[in-house]
Amino acid sequence: MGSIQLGIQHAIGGLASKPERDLLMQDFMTVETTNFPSDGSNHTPAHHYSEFKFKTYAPIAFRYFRDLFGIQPDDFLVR
Amino acid sequence: MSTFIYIIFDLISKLFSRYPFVTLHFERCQIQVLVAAFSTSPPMMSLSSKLFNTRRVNSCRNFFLDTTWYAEWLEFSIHILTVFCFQNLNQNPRTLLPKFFGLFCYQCNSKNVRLVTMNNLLPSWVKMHQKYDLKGSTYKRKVIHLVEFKITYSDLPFKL
Repeated sequence: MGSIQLGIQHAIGGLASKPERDLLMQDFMTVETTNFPSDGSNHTPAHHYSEFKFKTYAPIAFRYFRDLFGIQPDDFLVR
Repeated sequence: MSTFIYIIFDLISKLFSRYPFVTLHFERCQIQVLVAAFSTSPPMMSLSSKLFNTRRVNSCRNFFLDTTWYAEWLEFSIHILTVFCFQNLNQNPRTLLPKFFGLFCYQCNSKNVRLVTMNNLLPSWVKMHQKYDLKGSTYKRKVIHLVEFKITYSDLPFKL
């Protein structure tokens, strides 16, 4: 469970650096895959769970939908 | 924030891993839009033929379980869905249709856990005056304390 939270936090946090723009067709097709080794890497923090892979489907499209429904990234992470 | 996380194991894994967009067909309205669109299009007519590698085609409501999606068909469906999403969600941000906020996948040691984040289907301002705990099998389950069911009704006392 903790590793899933870590993955979602990383995925949503990483979106902040991407600029807001209009949705494109290919935004619905993108799948972002991130490896989370236990020791950490350049992009991911170290953690004490076993190594896992985290996929985010259509991140920009869903960010657009979250904006549309008025859900702030902070609220989304706190749940 | 009232969001549910539904952990879905391998139920929709095949479609999910191939095209994330396909899973959005849970919205009933979208199903109807898609059915209406597909029933008039040539790909739907030849869906059950050997040409398409279809493993399970049920009724028209859930026809695209486990089918192979070809590029042109996918393009067509994405076009419809995008138009639908933009029209519906832009015009009605307070829509009562299920809202999907994110799709994720957690992979560890060949175990896949897929997550859908969506809105709370039961409005949180409604006070629940009765709760029921309905489980699948009653095998080897017993009622121990009847006091507990003042809070949550279980299915077993009703069977006694």
